[in-house]
Amino acid sequence: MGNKQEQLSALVDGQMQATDSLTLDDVYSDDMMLQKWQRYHTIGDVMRGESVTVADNSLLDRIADALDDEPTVLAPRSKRKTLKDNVVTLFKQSSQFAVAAGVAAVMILGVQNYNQTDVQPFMTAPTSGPQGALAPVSLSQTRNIANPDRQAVVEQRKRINALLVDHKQQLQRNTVSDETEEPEQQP
Amino acid sequence: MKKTLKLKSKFLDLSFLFLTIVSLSFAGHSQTHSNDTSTVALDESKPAMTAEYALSKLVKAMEQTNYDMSLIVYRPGSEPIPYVWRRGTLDGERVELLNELNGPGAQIIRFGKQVSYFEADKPAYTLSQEYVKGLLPHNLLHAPEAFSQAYDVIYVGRARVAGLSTHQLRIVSKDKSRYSYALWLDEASFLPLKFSTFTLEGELLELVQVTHLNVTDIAHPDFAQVDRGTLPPVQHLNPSKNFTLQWTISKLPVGMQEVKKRVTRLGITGELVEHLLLSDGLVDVSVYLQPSGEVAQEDVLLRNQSDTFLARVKDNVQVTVIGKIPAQTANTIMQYIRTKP
Repeated sequence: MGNKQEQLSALVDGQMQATDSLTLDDVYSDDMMLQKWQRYHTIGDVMRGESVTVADNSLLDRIADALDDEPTVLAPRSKRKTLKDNVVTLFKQSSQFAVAAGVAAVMILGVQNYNQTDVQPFMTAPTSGPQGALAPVSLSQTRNIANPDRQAVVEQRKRINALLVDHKQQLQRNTVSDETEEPEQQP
Repeated sequence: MKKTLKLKSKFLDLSFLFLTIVSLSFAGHSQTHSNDTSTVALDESKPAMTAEYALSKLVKAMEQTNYDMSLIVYRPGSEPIPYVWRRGTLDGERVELLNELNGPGAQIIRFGKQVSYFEADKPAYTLSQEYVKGLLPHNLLHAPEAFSQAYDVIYVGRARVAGLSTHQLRIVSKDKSRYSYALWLDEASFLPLKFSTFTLEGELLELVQVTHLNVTDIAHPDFAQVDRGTLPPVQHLNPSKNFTLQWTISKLPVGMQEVKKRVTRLGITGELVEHLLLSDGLVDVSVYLQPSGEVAQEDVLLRNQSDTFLARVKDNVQVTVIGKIPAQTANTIMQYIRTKP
C-alpha cells in the first residue's frame, strides 16, 4: 500500500520510474486511489499557487450549514470580512445588554449651579453613609439641605433621565416620514 | 529661515508651499476665533467666495458625493468618540453609514428612506425616515435656508484642516442668544471637515473633526454587500397627534418657532407631560410642563453632552427646558411661558 501511494504521488508529479507498476487504469478502478489522486492534484495546485476548483462540495456544504446556524443580522454576499462582522458583534452584545434595556442610558456629565443661592442635592451621588450621624462639620453647605428627602432626590434623577431621553427620542423621531398614508389607519 | 528652506526641499510645488504657509498662519487665527477678515483675500484671480455659495456647494456635495470619512467628536471634559461616516449613491438611491467605533458602539445604516439602527442596549430596528440625525445639524448640510432667519453665516477665509485646504465659515445667531459655530469645508469636494460649537463666552463646547477623507467614484463596496432582506423590519410609529396646549411662549429667540405640541407619557417614569418642541433650524429645544409631585423643589441646571437641561418648579408645576442652547437662553424661554387667555 505504502509503495502504491508513493507510486501514485510520483504519477501525479509525472516522475514515474520505469520499474513502477502503477497504471492509470489501476487508479480509475480503485475508488480510494481515485480520491487520493484528486487530493494530490488539489494539494499540488494550491502549493503552486494556482486557482483551485474544489469538485467535492461536501466541505463547502458543511461550512454553509454552519453559517446558517449563526445568528446573522446581515448576510453578506461575499466572504469578505466587512460590514457584517461589525453588525454581528453588535447583535451579540445587544442580547447581552438586553437586561439593561429599560434603564436610561443617559449620563450626567457636568453640573453647575445656576442659581448660586440654591443648593442642589441631586448633583452629588446619593450619600452612602448613615444619615445624620457624624455629619462632617466643615461641609456647612450641605446643612442647607439637611435631611433631604432621598426618595424625592432619586425620583428627580429619574425624571431628569426620562426627560432627556424623551427629548432625544423626539429629535430622532422628528425625522420620521409622514405616516398618515399608512394602510393601518382607520378611516 | 531654516524651516522655510526645509519646506522648500520637501515640497517642490511652490504654490503648495505658499498655501501651507498661509494656512498655518490662518490656523493661528482660527484658534483665537478672530473675526478679523483683513488677511483673507488670497487669490485675486478667483471670484470671491461667499458663504451662500459655499453652503450651496455643501448641499450638493452631501446629496451627490460618494465618500468615506473617519472623524472624532470631542467634548471638553469627556473622551473623544471616533466614528466612520460614509455616504454614496447605490442603484439610484442614497445610502449612508454612521458607525461609532468605541465601546459597545452604535451603527446606523440608511438605504434611501429606510434607516436601520443597531445599538448595544436594544434590539435592532428600522424606521422609515427622511434622513439620519447625524453628527452635524441636518439643515446645515441640506437646507441652509431653514436657519437663515435665526443665524448669519459669514465667510471667514481659507485654512488647512485634516491636511486639506478649506473654506472657513462662521455661523452666529442674530440675537447672540445661541451658541455660535465654525465650519470648515474642503476646497475640492466642499464636504465638511471640521465643525466647532462655541459657547457665548467663546469656549469650545463640541468639536467634530474629520481625520481622513476619501472621495470615490462609486459608493463604498460594503453597501452593495448588505443583504437588504435581512435588515430589521420597518417599525411604523403612530402618527403624532397635534395637541392644543393651554400655554404658549410669548417671546421666542429670533428665528425660533414652535414645531410640535404633544401630550405624552415619559417612557421611563410613565409621568404625563406636556411637550412643546421649538426649533430655529439649527438647534431643537424642548419645553416640558408637568405636575411637580413629590420631586425636590430645587432648580436644576446641568449639561448632558452639549445639551443644556434647566428645570424649575413653580406653583406645583415643573417646567423643563432642554436643548443645545446657553443656560441664559433656556432661562429666558422659561420666563416667557404664559397661559393662553
